[in-house]
Amino acid sequence: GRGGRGRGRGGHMTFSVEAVGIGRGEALPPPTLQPSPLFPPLEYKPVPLQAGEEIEYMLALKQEFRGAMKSLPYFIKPSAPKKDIERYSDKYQMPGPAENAIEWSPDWRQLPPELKIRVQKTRKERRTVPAPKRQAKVSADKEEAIKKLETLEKKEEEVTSEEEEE
Amino acid sequence: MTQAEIKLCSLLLQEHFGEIVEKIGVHLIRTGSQPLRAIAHDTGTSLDQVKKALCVLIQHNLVIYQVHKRGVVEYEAQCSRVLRMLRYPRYIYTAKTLYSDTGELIVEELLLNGKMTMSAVVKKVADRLTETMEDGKTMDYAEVSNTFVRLADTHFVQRCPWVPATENSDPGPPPPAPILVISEKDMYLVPKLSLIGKGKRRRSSDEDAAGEPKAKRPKHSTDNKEPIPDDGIYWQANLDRFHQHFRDQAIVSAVANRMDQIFRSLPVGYNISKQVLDQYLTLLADDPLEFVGKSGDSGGGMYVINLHKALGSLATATLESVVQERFGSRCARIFRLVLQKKHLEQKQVEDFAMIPAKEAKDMLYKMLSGNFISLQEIPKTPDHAPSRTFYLYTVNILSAARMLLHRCYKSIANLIERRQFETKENKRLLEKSQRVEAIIASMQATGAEEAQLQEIEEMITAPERQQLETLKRNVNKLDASEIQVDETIFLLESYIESTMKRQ
Repeated sequence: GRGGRGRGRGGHMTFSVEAVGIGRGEALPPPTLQPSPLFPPLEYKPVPLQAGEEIEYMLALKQEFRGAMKSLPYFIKPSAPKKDIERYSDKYQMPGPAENAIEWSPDWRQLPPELKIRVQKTRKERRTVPAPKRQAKVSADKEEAIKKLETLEKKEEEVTSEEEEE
Repeated sequence: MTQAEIKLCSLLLQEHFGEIVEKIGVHLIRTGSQPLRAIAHDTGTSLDQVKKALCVLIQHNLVIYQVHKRGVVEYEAQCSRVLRMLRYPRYIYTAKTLYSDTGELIVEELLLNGKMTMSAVVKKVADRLTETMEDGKTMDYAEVSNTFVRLADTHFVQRCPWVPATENSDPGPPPPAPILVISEKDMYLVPKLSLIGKGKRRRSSDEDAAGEPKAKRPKHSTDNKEPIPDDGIYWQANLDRFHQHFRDQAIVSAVANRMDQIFRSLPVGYNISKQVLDQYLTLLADDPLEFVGKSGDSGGGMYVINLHKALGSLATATLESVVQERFGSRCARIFRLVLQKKHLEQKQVEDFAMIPAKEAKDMLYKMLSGNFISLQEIPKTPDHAPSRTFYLYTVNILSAARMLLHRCYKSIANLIERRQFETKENKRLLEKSQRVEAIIASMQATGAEEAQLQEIEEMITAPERQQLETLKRNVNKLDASEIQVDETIFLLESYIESTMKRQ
């Protein structure tokens, strides 16, 4: 642009600057070489915020709504970070809901079927299928397997009663 | 969609639905309609996560789907609908003013869940209301139902598009996605339900500390085994109806200070009290029909409202107010002058406003660079020679309104970011305070002594308490500011929409 031409008025403009009030020979202000400050000083004090019962109530509604949404199943938390090392406490922690399962029940009659997630082991209909797998695991390491059985059962209980809750 | 709007959508989605839904939602807003796999590929998200996110977005009426040729389903986000999340508190509050606590909770539940059946809403609201009532008292389903019906009758809630009933004797292949329909005449039709029951209180023994597996919550005890009478019939809040109400409110209150003038100028013979006149005018203003008639004629005189003009006045008043607060009252005077005279030359501004040339120039340039006013070229000669051209200052209300609207979006985005920053800075302290509160609550439930409670409370030091107080005050201020800026957004959007309709 016209960066270097700050002194006086060397260049021609496409319109007559007198028309907008720049007098003859008057210097234009220097070009701006940096972005405006992040928090520019305020020339005039801002008007105070509205106050009163209505605003107070709406404020409470807003904050409660925000809080409520965070605890509803529609709030999808990012998947738990992959374990870096096996920790002692892992044995004693309740496993979260199945990584892939959706935690609420949409009405599938009104949604494209392609959006359904196939979940292994924890769906009601599939309860019979994993049974042989479970038997196989018991033989491997008895103690570890029994623990896994317990957590699997708990998982199924959760999902089942979740489904019943509608 | 401007960058500012997309940014704001991103913040809203992230705050209410988490980062995954935000990523998918923003992607769709940016790229337009896309099929499932393309979304997963372009965002680098797993297919399952995308499916989850889309289910949530569709449930909340933020994304719709369409079946294209060859059976491909494409998903489309509604950016402006996402921005409406800013207005949720206002919708809920309005429902409260019109239909009291019951109405408030009905609308709140619908907004929290996106879509619900009437029976589900009634049960949930009855439960919530019962919680707040004295021991032994419960809220009847019938009462909640009645309020729901009133909300439907006045169109504040409406039916969601539904699967049409088909006499399907043709067992063809299932469609790639159900095609949903909606009809004007059935949109507010309430199903014939006889919901009998009362709200249930959550028993105190179940209000234990967090960590209870979900299975134990007795939310629906035995009812859930019964078939749902209105299965598949979903309802949502009708935001447009609320907007109509806000518009009417804005116009009525703007006119309110003219009430005295109107009242005084009524012919002496009119035996009508101020209150009654007030009511009539309010009713008329609230009615979606526009009465057209000559004022003062037979028929008792008709109140004429030109909606577009009214919205234009409100938008202009908003612009004037902003100029005044940003640039000062002398600037505002110049602004009003240019508005009034439509087109003014530099010299004329100086003369009419009685402000010295140098200052007038400075003020005009400030407003010019802020896009509140613009320069218009009027050539005197066919060759458009600059020396023989008028350069006039003018206010283009539509483009100034658009500019200000854009600024409002940016402002709210800044407010939200600052609020999140403040909260994050004090995260540790907030968590500590929540833990302490939880401990105190459980101790109180088990009947702890005053001294013990005191000890726990002292776990938070005085300076920490001060910090929490400051945080709360700041967060409240930022939240309140958001609400206030959204009021301006509503006015400007209404005016812009009304103007675009006429073109």
